Amino acid sequence: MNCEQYQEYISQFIDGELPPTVEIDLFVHLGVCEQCRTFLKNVLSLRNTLTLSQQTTVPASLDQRILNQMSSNVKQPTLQNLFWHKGKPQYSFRAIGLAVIFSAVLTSILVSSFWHISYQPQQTIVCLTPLPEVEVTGYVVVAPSPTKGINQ
Amino acid sequence: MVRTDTELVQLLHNGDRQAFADLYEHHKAAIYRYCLRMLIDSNATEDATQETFIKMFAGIKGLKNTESFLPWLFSIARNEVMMHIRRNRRNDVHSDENIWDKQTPYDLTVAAETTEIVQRLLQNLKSEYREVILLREYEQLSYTQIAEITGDSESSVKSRLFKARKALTKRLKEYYT
Repeated sequence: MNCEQYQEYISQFIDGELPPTVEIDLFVHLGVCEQCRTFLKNVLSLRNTLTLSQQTTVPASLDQRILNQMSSNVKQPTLQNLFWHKGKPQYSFRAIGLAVIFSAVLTSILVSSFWHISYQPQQTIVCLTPLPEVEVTGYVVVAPSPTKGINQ
Repeated sequence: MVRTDTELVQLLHNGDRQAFADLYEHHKAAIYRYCLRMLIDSNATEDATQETFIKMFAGIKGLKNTESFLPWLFSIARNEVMMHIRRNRRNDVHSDENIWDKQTPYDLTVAAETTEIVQRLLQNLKSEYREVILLREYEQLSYTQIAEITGDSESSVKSRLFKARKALTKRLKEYYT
């Protein structure tokens, strides 16, 4: 195993990602290799320098932009977005319910119109006395007088 | 009461808007820092940070494993950063080490402090090397988490970290000798 491999181990070691068995092997090598010891020292120094430059402040204007954007993302219910979402129809219960109600109303209007046209009130005639006989001559109907029969 | 990310994500799933504000407060510095170190430009950084949190809110219901919230959030930030880098990538000639993005580092004679020098060198690393350094050194993410964010294997993450560290320490040594 050469120094390049051990230096890879050093990189994993400072991240706490080196298996314990390999750590032992690495420490044995570090005991005899100045080049790798120097590499370990330089990598730790690099880490310290990076850590020192870590302070970063998020601009307050960015906070405001993001929170304002989130507020405007809350959609107010409109007639359009009741039925449409991102350009696609939204088959919500509201849309289906409205369609059912509309169909029912239309159907009842049509049915009642049809019923009115075809409805014929029946007239019932009640006779309290038997109807007299009548004589039909051609197109003439001779009805007897109230007190006499036809042949009288 | 300080809630964990897992609890906040659950609350956000249920539409709790305060949970979004809390998650934003917890992670805005880390996301901003990552974007700034990757993009260098502060305007681009603000845009990328904003987009990250907006997409986080929009996509939170799709996050099934709430334990992976942080890598997932960084993945979103990474996508924003990479889109910006791809839009602005210059056709630089790569060095023989294939680590550096620029042929020559920024004018190091101007930078008096080692910190400044290191920052300039970091900016000059290729994005895939700069990224693993940022996620490991600044955000203390594990190799597993970094692999999840970048979409690479853990062995690729280990290798890239090693190469980036070696290149930075070598360049620093050249500057001081």
